[in-house]
Amino acid sequence: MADFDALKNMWQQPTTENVDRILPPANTSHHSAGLKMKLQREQLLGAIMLVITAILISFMALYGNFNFVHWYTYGAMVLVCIICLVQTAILLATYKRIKRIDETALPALHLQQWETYYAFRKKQIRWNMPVYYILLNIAMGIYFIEVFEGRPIINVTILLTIYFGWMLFSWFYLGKRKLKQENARLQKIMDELKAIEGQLGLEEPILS
Amino acid sequence: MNQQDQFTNLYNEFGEGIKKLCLGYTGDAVLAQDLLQETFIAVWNNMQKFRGDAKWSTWIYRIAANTCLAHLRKKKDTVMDVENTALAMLPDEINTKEQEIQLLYKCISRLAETDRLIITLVMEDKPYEEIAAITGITENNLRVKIYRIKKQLTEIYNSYGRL
Repeated sequence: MADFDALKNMWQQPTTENVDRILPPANTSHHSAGLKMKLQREQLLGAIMLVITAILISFMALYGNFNFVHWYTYGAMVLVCIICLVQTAILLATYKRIKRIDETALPALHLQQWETYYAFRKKQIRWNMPVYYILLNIAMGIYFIEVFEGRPIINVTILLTIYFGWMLFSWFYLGKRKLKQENARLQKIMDELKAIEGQLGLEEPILS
Repeated sequence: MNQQDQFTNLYNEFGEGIKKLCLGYTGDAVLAQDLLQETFIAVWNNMQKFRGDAKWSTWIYRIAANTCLAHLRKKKDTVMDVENTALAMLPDEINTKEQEIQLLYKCISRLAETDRLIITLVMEDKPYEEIAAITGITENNLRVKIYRIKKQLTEIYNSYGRL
């Protein structure tokens, strides 16, 4: 029978190198950068992609020689750029929010910050994506008015079918699936954070 | 001393201890290495915030504790898989020191998350006052917890009849 002091002696004996050697290799395929960094990077990458999109569309509107007749067609391109930039601002605000989480705080407070972030994110993804989709489709709808003007009905039908097909697929399949996954993940994380907060809480003395 | 030198000193002084903390916490050498790296990235990013209210060791161990607690939320399933596999891989008779240590790490990783953290700090001979400052638990509550965790860990270890 081992008592705790024997276990402590055992713990204090080896160097980390020994332990590295004796522990079985982990499956490294699941390993990634830190949770906080990964979340920050996702927001930052999304923001960069959207800025690039806005720049490309602006460039096309200015130098694309489309010779659109109606001002609202250019207006639609500007609107898409604005939507991209507003979405960029939202992503950057989320990035800053993650960055503000203080790793040096006491564990209970640190976990509480994560819980607050996840609750915020859960609410955010509920409204942000629908609003983004609706506005983007309004802008695209305005853009299509002139683009499709005078074209053969069969071409318009094919292009609109492809466009709406993709939009419906990305909304009802890709988007919904992503939202469902993220919601489930956030819920799980929040439940687990609560469980950990519970572990840090007051404990009844054990009478022996 | 510039930030780079100070950081190097901190890494040299606490790196080994933090890695053992992460290892005891996860029972997984590769994941522990990830957490060690993540901890010291956070140390580097937050060094300017250190005001000397606590000792450097308390501050760094607290970052490590936070990193572990936040990280394990995502890795829990993987860790449990590795842990179960490792226990299954243990031979029927444990004869060598290394096998005993392996079993100890695995037994620690069977404890609740915060308990792993606390007991690892206890085994590192950190004073109760410092453990309380790292974990944010009152000293009285901590003593109760430590008493229970010691008992629990010893029971888990002995349940394998290894000593």
